Amino acid sequence: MVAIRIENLTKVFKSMLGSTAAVDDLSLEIQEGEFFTLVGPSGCGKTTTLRIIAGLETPTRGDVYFDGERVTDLPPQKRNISMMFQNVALFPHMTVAQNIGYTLKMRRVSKSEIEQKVRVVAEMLGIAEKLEMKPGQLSGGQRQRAALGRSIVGETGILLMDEPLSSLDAKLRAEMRTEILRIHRKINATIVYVTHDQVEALSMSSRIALMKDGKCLQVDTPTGLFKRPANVEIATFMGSPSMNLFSGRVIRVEERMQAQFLGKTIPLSDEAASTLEGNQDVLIGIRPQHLRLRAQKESSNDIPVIIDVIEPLGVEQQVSVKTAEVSEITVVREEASDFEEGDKAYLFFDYDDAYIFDRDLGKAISFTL
Amino acid sequence: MRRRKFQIMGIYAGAILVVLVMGFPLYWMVKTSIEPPTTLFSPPYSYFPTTFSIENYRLLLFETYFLTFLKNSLIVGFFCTLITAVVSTLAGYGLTRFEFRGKKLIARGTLFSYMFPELMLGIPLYIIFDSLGLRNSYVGLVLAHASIGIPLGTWTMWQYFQIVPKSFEEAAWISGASRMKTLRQVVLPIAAPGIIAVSTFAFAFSWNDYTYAKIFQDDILMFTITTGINSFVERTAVHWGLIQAGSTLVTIPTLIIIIFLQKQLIESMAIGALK
Repeated sequence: MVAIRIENLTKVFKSMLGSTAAVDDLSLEIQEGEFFTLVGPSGCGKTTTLRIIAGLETPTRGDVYFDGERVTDLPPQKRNISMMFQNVALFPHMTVAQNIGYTLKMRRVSKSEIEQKVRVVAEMLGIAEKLEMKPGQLSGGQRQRAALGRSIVGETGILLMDEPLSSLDAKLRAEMRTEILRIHRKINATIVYVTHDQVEALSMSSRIALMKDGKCLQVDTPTGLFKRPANVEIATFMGSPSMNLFSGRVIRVEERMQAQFLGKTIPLSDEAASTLEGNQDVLIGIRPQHLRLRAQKESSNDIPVIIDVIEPLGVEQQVSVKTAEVSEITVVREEASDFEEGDKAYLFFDYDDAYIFDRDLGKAISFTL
Repeated sequence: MRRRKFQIMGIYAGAILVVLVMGFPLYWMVKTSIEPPTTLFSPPYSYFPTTFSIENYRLLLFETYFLTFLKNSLIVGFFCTLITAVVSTLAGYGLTRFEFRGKKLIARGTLFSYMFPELMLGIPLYIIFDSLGLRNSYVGLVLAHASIGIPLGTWTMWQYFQIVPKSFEEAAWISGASRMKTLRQVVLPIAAPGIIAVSTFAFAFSWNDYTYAKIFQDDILMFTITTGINSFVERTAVHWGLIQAGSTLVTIPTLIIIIFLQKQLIESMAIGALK
């Protein structure tokens, strides 16, 4: 297990159109044995960061340290790492066994030892019968397993993964996610995983770095990132469908703080009030999963809405509703559909599940009302 | 149903016609070569061989320099292919994988240099080779042939390496393989279809070349098969039997190479399709 430290990393790509910073003054600390995920939209610099850790790209500025030792100038051959690529990159002219054993062959391990280690890994991944086949004869899932085998057979302290599951269909992807997690528990490696898929990031990682435009927006555990997003951008990126945002205002009335939005005035808890100064424009965010609907008005704070579109999603259903002021509010409900499109309904939610953001800066102010 | 039948019949008729047009000269070549030289111009003429004789082949192999011509062509063809394949592969790899100024210009320029007709290059090359003492040598002819093969070969490999994902090499580097080892163990096997295509072209060009061989080699012991067979046309006689027997023998190695490479090409294409 190896700890990775990245300091003030910058990578500028020059092209005919000018230069762009793919990674912009990025600093990260990845602890040993962690499953650390870099997540973000395409072009956010996550893959470039991973390739710099691998030594496949040279940073314009900044340094990479493995266990405190500077490796910035080491070529990939000398970094003692392994990597899984987006396009699998199994050598097409070698058998699965030769592919998995290639790292060991480069280290001049004896033939019998290579054979034995390859077999152990192949059995662990359920591809022992495929060892003599060429990658072209394998299914997509088996190829991923072989590629995973190639990256763990060397027992390196660092395992880098560049969107390894993006070419698989949904079912295989879920299967391989479990497989990778199972392997991570068995081997002693720090995994740095790159994906644009937040479900992958949330379900696998010990910690996640959310990146955008070459910068890291927030590093946190999956729960932390979900429950305590640092700003509106992160809050809307994490979670699907995206968080609903409502323009509102916080006002102070006789020492009591109140939030006004969706035509309602709701008194704020002491916890929320302590972070607010009063009389400011805010955005109120509520996740679709936390909004609920009922046919009868039961509280004066229930918000009257009209059901616009109902999309069944198997167990859940996604409902779009609208009010006089807001044209689209997304609600995800688990209960069976008792509404029809065009029906009147009342929207309500637990105040603990709402977020308050600064409307101008986007910064999170409170994680409850 | 009936229409489909006619369609198939039409296709077959067309195919048979093409085979006849292409195949008849070949057939005539073999037929003339296995008949005694005396029957060639003595009526009645027949479309089918009437008498069989290996006299043409005996004369060709033992009374002429044919075996020398064959040896010369094989030596020149082999080294031209080797040089073209090695230079084109390395140049193509360099042009794809390394960043430097004017890269695209060089890559496209190679194709431009390929567009000069041989005859135009032949005379300057003759003067250069003459001053270097490379006329009537294998080195001269090999270089001249490679100068045609390398530009197209480099361009082909440049194109080819562009479709080979870099991650194969990166995977090898991360596994600990050096650049040279990666080239040998990963890049070359994956680039095999391209290399085979380039080699086939280089050999075929060298094997068929008449222009350069005619311009540079005037010593009959340095003739290649093309200029050699042409030497059977003498001022007072055209030895048709020798020409046809020589041509027949010359097609055999080509045929073997093509059959062998066809299998290789298809196998390598299957590998190429895996990416």
